[in-house]
Amino acid sequence: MEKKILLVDDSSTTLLMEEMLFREHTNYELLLARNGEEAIRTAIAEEPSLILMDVIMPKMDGFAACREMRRHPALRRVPIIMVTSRGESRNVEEGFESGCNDYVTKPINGAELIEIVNGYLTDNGQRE
Amino acid sequence: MTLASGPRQKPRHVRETDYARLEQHLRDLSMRYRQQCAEVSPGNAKYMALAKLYAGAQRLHQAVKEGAVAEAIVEIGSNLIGCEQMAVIVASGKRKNVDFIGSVGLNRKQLKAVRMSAREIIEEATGSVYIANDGGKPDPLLQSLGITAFVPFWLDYTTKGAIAFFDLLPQRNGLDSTDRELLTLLRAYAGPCLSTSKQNRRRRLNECHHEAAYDR
Repeated sequence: MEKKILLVDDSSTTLLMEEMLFREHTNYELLLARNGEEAIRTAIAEEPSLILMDVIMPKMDGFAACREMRRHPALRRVPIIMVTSRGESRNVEEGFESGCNDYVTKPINGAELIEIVNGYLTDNGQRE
Repeated sequence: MTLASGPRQKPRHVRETDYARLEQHLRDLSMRYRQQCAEVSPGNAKYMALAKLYAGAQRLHQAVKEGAVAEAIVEIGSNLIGCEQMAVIVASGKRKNVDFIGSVGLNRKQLKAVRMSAREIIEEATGSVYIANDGGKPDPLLQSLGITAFVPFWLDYTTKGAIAFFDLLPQRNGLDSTDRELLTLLRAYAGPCLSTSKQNRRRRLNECHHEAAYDR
């Protein structure tokens, strides 16, 4: 069965970019959400193998959504990668404290993103 | 950049200067990692450039209302180029008034400075994209405002507005060739998209007037 990735971003430009990247270079099934609340609903219903989530979003930001997801038993161990504008230590620390596993900075570098995602989803690269 | 584990916290026994040096070392590593990513995958840069241009063009053409066009421009600037501070300004009423239709990350002082110089910026602008420190002739006005790049909305041989890009995100090391392509895309399409959105608004207003007249 194909692994599912949940892409979460309020920017349709970024979602389109990420969709194009994953469709071109991987076989993962893609799920999309536009804010933190929608992401939580979709994640609970679909139980994706990995979540790639923007930090700044309306309704519920990425950090809050990440904390909420970690409270849910089915999502406790799902790798969550945050997409952040600023890679400063303060933001990164807040991300890790909220329970995310990794982060990438904007603008997205395709090769870097695919490598990180594959690292989490391939059998020999499974990270906890 | 990826970190295998986190969060990072300064241990008490590490001096501030050492910690700052370590942070700098991490940033250097991040930079080298990015460079190596680009080297390992030569097709990546080309693919990313095309993907960004496609996403940017599609985003602009999907926008119908003026606000949506401004939002698309800001999204392209922040998410595809990596600009932290930018403003979208348009001229109206034979260029006598200048309106901000979108901005991101600018503080009050910068907004005020741009607002005060906006008309002058638009009046002086030619149809070409300006990039600071690009080897071309420096523009004293744009330079004084701290503008990194400037994209005019060029329609019917006049400048109808502009996008002013200020600071890029800290991880961006200047504008690259893909960014330049994106700026050229914005120069070519942002103006017509805004103009079309205004025409749509006028058309809708006319339709409303006709309907109201018909109802009477």
